[in-house]
Amino acid sequence: MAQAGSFDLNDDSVAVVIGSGAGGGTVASQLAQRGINVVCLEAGARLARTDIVNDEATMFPRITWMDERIGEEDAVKDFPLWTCKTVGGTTMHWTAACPRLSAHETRARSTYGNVAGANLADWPIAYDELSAWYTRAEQLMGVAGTNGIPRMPENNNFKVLAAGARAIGMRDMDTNNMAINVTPRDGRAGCLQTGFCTTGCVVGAKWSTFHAELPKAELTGHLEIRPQSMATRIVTDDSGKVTAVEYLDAAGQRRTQRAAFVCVAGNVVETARILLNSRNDQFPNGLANSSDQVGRNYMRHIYAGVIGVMPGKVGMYKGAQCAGIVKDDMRHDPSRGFVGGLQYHIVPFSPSTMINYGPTGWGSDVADMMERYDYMAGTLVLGEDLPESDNRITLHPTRRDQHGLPVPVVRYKLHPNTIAMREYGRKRVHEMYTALGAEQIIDMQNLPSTHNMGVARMGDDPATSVCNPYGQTHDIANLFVSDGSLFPSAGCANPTLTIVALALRQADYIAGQRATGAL
Amino acid sequence: MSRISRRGFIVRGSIVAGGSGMLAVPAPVLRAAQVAAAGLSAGAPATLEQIVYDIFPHSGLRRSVYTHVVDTLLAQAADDTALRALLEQGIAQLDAAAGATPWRDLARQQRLKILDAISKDAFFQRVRVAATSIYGDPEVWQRIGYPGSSIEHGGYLNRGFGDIDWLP
Repeated sequence: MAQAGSFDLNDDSVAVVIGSGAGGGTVASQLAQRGINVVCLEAGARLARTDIVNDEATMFPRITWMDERIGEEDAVKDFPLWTCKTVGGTTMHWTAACPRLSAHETRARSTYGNVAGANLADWPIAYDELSAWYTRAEQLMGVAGTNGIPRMPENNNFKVLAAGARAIGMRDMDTNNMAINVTPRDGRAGCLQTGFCTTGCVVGAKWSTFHAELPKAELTGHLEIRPQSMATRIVTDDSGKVTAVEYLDAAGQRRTQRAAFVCVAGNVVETARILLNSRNDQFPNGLANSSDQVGRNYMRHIYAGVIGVMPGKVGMYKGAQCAGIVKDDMRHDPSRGFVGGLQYHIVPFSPSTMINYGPTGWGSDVADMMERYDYMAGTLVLGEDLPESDNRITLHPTRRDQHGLPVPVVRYKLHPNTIAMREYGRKRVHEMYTALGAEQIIDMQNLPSTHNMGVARMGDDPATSVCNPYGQTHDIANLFVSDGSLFPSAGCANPTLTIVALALRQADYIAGQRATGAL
Repeated sequence: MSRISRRGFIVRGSIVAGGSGMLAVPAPVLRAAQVAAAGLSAGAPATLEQIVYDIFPHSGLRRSVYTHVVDTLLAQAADDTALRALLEQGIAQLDAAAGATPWRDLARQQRLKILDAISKDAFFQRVRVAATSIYGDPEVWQRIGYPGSSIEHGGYLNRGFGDIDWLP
C-alpha cells in the first residue's frame, strides 16, 4: 500500500516547496510523480473533507489567511488580499474560472507601447509554447469547455448577463472555461451546482490541489506535506546556494529542513516576504533581489462588482459561482480610452458580502434593497492592471506578526488607465442590466484582492527581472519561484490556469536539470 | 472608517458561532449581566436595539434578530473600554439631541433625523458594522430569499439552477 513520504530534516537531497496551492501544490505533485522527493511546507492546517461545509461564516476563518497585512493607498486597509492558509492554498477559495491569457497580453510592452508610470514588459515565453502548456494544464485540471470536455450548463445569473450583453450588441459569451467536473472525472465527482465554490467545494468537483493533485502525489511515496509549518527564512551558504528552509512547526518549534533546491509559492505577498526577509550578508537586499525587483510590479486586476436588482427572480446564489463570461471587451482597443482588455464574469455575493461591500448607507432604502436579494444578478468586471514599480510588497520596518516576522505592507495605487477601464466596464454592465429593466443597480465597493501577480517577474535580463523564463531565480540557481509572482503582466484572465501551466513547465525543466546533474 | 471584511467577517463569525451557545442562558439574565459588565445605563440596550433596527429596518422579523446584535455588542464592550465609552457617549449624544424625551421614544421621523446627523460619526458607523451581522442570520436569509447551505438538498443540480423564465 502506497503511503505519503516522510523525510528527515537533515536529508539534503529533497526539494522543499513552500506553499501547497495552485503553484506550489502543482509543482510539488509533478516533482513527486517524477520520483523526486519533496517536502511541502504549508503554513495552514490540513482540513478533513468533512470540515468543508456550505457556509461562508464557518469556512472563512477555517481557510483564510488572517495574519496581519497592511494595505496602503488603494489597497483595502486592514485586509488587502483575500488569500488562503490551508492545505490546498487558495485553490480552496478560487472559483475555477480558467480563461487563457490572450497573445497580445503576453506582449504588453510591444502592444501597449510606453505607458507613463507603467513598467511594462513582454513575457519571455513564446505564445505558442505557452499555449501548449495551457493545453496540458487544462487536461490535468479537466477544464470544462476545452479539449473536447463539455461546457458547464447555464445558470440563472449567466442567463441574465448573457441576455443583457446581447441586448447591447455583444456576441462573445459562454459558460466560461471552468476547472469543474460536469460529470465525474479523475476520481472526483461531478458538480451538484451547490453555489459554494469559494468555501472549498464540498463535492470535490472543483479542481483544487487539495482534492486533486496532492492526494495523487502522496500515493507515490515521494511527497510529504507538512501542514501548520510556517516558513520563515531561506538559508544560503557561502557559495550563494540555497541549503535549507527554516520554519515554525505546529507547536511553534523552530525547525530547519535541508534542501537540494527550493520552490517558493506563497501567493505573491508571502513569496515577496520570505525572499526579502531572508536577506543576509551576502544578499543584503533579500534573496534573488540584485535587480531590486522583488516585491515590485505588484498587480491585482481591476475588480468592480455590479449588482442589478432585476424585475424577476434570479437567485444568483444557485450553481457554479463564476460559470459565465462575456468576452467582447477582452480585446485591446485604445479607442475606448485605455490600453488592455477586460472581461465580465458572473459572480454571486452572499447577503453578508452584499452588505459589507455593497451600499454604504442605511435605513429603509438599504433594507428594502436587501429584501430584493432573490432578484439580484451579479457581475464582476475583471480587467488588466499595469505593473508599476511603486506598487509593491515591502516589510514593515517595526511591526511584527505572531511569528515574529515583519508584517507585509501592500502598496497599490490605481493607475489612470485602470480607473478609466474600471469606469468603462461598470458603465457597460449598467447598460446590460438596464436593458433588461433592472430596478436598481449597485456598484460594489473596493474588494480585497484575490488575484495577485508580479512581484518576482520573469524575464531574460537579470538586471530587470527576478527569474528566468522557467521561474529559476537569476541570482540563485537552486531557488525557484512557482506562483503568480512570475507574471510580467497581468492580462485580464483569472491567473490560476496560467500559474498551473507555468508550474507544469517548471517541473519539466527541473526534472531535466536534475537528469543532467545541473541541479 | 473602512468597514471591512476581515473584521466584519470575524465579528460575524463569532456571532454565528456564539449564537446557539447563548440560547442556553435566559436572555434577560444574560442581558442584565452584560449591561452591568459593560457599565452602561439600564436603558442602553433598548436604545441600541432601536438604532440597529433603524439602520436596517425589516418589519415583521422576530425581535431576537436585532436583540442578538446588541447582545454581541455589549459582550464586546464588556472587555473593551474604548468601545464602552464610544457607546456611552453616542447614546448620550442622541438623548441630548432628542431633548426632554429619550431618543428611542421619539417618533420615527424625528429619530431618523437625529441619526442622520450623526451617521458619519464613529459611534454610528460602529453600530452599523455590528448591525450588518443580521444578514448572516438564517431568519433574515429566509426573509430575503437566501436559502444558505444547499448540499443537504443535493445542491441545485436538479432544483432549478437554470430555471429563470422571465428573460426576453
